[in-house]
Amino acid sequence: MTRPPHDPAVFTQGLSKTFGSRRKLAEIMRHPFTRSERTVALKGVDLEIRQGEIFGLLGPNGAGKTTLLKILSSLVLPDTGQARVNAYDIATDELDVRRSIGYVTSDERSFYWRLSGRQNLIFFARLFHVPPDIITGRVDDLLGRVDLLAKGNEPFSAYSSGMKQRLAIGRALLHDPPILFLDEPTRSLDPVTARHIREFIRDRLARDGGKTILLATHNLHEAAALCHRMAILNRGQVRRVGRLDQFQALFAAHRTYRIDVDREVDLQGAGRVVSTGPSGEDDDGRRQAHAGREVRLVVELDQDHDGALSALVARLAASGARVLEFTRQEPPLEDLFDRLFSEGSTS
Amino acid sequence: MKPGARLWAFLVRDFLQDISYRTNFAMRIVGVLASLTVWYFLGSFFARFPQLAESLGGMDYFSYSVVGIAFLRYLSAVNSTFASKVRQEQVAGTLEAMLVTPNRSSTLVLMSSAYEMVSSTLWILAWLFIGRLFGATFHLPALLPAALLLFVVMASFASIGIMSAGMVIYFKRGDPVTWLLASGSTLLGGIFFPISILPEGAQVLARLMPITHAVEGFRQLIVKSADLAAIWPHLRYLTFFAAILLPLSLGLFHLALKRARLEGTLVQY
Repeated sequence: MTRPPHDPAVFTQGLSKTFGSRRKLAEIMRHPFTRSERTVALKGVDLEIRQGEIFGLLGPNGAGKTTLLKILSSLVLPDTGQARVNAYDIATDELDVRRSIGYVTSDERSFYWRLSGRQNLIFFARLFHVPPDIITGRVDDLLGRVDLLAKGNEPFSAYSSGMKQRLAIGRALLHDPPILFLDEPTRSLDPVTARHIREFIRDRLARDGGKTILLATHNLHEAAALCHRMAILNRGQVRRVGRLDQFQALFAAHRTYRIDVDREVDLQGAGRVVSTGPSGEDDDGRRQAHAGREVRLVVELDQDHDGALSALVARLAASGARVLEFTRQEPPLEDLFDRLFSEGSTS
Repeated sequence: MKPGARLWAFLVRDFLQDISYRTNFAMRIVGVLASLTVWYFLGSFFARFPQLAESLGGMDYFSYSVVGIAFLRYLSAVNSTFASKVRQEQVAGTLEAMLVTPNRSSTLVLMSSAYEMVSSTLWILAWLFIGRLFGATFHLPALLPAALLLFVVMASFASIGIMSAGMVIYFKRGDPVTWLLASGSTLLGGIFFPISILPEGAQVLARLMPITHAVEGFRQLIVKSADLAAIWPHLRYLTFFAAILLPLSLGLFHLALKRARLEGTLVQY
């Protein structure tokens, strides 16, 4: 289906889902009129994901990320609200929705372990309605793109975790869908393999392939490295939607600078001195050459005070101290997301 | 894409998985031979009592029991295949991967069982063929009545299997339908003894069970070389049974799928 370029790839409005726990027969007999325990998985989720963007769904475990992906994949029906994927309604056009998406989970068990990677892909290609005369070529092409061509005839059970994950990505591309849902695609992978997968997602799927990617993750650095925009999801609710720099600006009431100087300097009045002490290690933990002989100051300046930095530099110059290093410090991502995740979590 | 291509995908997948267990085929053949040997000697023993053949409608006990056991196994295989396939895919983690393909969930579950249906049919034919080699008095039946009877037997048995698959999807437990039916069929289905020796109430129950008609129909066809007219009452009952139960079980299966999607438990086990 051809869509106007400005149509959202994914659109949700007021999407809500509550799960009830199954009650045992004995419990029903004892308390017949008590309702089963309810868990709110999603509550009034409104999202609009643009074509061609990598959009992150970020949240702690149990935030509702996987439930949202399953609803968008039409595996689970929402209680209320509506959602469209590639302009198809998830409740009424489920087959068109599934034609439009590739769904990658981190579950290694989603293949037939006694079949080879190639046999697995051929099976799923038939289920994705790939025309029989092009299945072999398509499968070989995809095995090549995920660097598994040489291992295609080996049983899936012999694959490493990274190979299994790459094969899962290959399967999601069998029918060349415009939209990919990736649920924790690098979970349980070693750092090097995880980086390769991230590069593949960013360079070959998004940049070269033009795919719209919805990435659910709780890996903050992965989200920061890959996503154009992201939604912060917690307890089933979308707390924020935006770019990483917008989130950083949101909580940056002050800017923090680290200054290494060759003697004690009084900076009170030019900024808020957070700490003073001997310098020792740089950001990478390496010991500096001048360690132990100099002084490190950490100073915070008000974000909305335009002349604060000039005043600080002037005070440093006037002190006569030699400035060895002057660095702007970004708050750790963990701190930023901790604040984002905890927004409204007491409500 | 035509449904045939998807059906072929399932047949190939299950065949490849089946042959990956290299000793499986040999073990099944050994099982068939061992079982038939037991029934052969039991049949030889019962042959010492000529009045027995009279109560078995003129059949020898070995031929009688080999046909009965064939269809008891067939019922068991066809009944359990739908539920066990759903369960296997849930446990193996492959159900979700299948369900995000652009196919109806019910189509996927039904096609998943295709290989087991074909394989069970072939194993029943092999059982009967080897039984013939052991000395069972089997004749090659007329093609049309045999094909018609086999078709309605499959439809009847499958309808119970689809209902039990719905139960597995919804309740996540081994289904009581298959268990009840297997036990009931062994006792009441005329597998090892004629239903005429049962109490009257039990005979009524026995005549309601599809296996009773399947076994009796095939005994008539391959032991007594009966024609279409002779098996017509069995054919009619099984057609009636399938016509009622097949749409009902498909409806219940769809309902179970929808409930499971609503509750988010479709891929749980």
